[in-house]
Amino acid sequence: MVTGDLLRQSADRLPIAEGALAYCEYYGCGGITIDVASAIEHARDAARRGSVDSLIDIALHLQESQIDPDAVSAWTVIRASLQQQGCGSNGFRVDWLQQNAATLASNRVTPQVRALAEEYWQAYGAQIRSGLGCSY
Amino acid sequence: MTKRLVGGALLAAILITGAFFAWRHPVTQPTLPSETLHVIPEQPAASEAATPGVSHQNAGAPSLWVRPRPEVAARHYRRSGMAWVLRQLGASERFIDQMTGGDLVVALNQLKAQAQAGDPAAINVLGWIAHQDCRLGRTSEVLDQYEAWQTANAKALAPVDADWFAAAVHADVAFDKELNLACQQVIDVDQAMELVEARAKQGDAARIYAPIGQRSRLCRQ
Repeated sequence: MVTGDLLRQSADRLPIAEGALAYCEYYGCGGITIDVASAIEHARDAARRGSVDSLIDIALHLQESQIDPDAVSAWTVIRASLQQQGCGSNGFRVDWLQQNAATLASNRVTPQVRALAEEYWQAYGAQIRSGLGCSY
Repeated sequence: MTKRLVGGALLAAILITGAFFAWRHPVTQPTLPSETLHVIPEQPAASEAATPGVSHQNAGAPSLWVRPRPEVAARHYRRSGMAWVLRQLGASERFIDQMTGGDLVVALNQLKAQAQAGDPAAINVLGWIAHQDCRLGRTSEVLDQYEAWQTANAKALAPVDADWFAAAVHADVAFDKELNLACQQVIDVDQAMELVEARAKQGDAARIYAPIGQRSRLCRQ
């Protein structure tokens, strides 16, 4: 069984596996054929379940016609907020604290981005926190 | 059989995705946190507000824009850190709650009893905790050094942030010390790994990490 098969099998249960599947669909790894549209879809779904990294990373390589930059910024805000809450982070680091505070206060967080972030948080916040295991 | 295969695939996926993300985001990995263990209630977002002008939110849901109290963030951190592995090994949310905000000795004693009674999920979870936390857990001395290092790092921050950061790290370290003590009181690592290995011989998904225990034991011999 190759990595891609394992990722596909576990993507439904593990958001982080769906995020990794998205990476492999974008970059072509683990025996997975490149499929950018599917990569975006899986990355977006993984983000809605708490694994935001793949969407933000893949979006760096995409054009505006492929993904809304405001949506990416909104997910960047959500990731920073989650890390600030201690959810799904790799621990407490001064540089993370600084980066996250800077992200949340950035002038890139336009009213549109802020509204989108709030919309996503309202729609997926509970699912995200539950998926990450930081709600109780 | 299918369940075993799916379980094996999930465990393998955890290891693969863990390695994948560790590779993409290399960080020093601290572990878990508390001094006196009691459930830390999620502070309602309105009373958490440290920043004026916080936007609307659901009742009880945390705000996107406000940092929670440090001990709450520390609990989120340790709960999400445990949940992402322990859930896949079959741990209940109640057990994860107990392990991250309840009485650790009680939780581990219950887990050990279930494992000794042959509960496969309990064996997997016990094996993981025995190896990952009880065998590989950082000593009090190392934890003290880590906290001192982090506190020194925090001097780069504004005073209010430095205080928050130091308190979060302290809660994190205190929990690790509490877990170390609970391990010493409750867990016999070799015994736990024997249970895991016995399950592995029956084809349980635990076989995927059973060799880790065997290797560790060999290293100490």
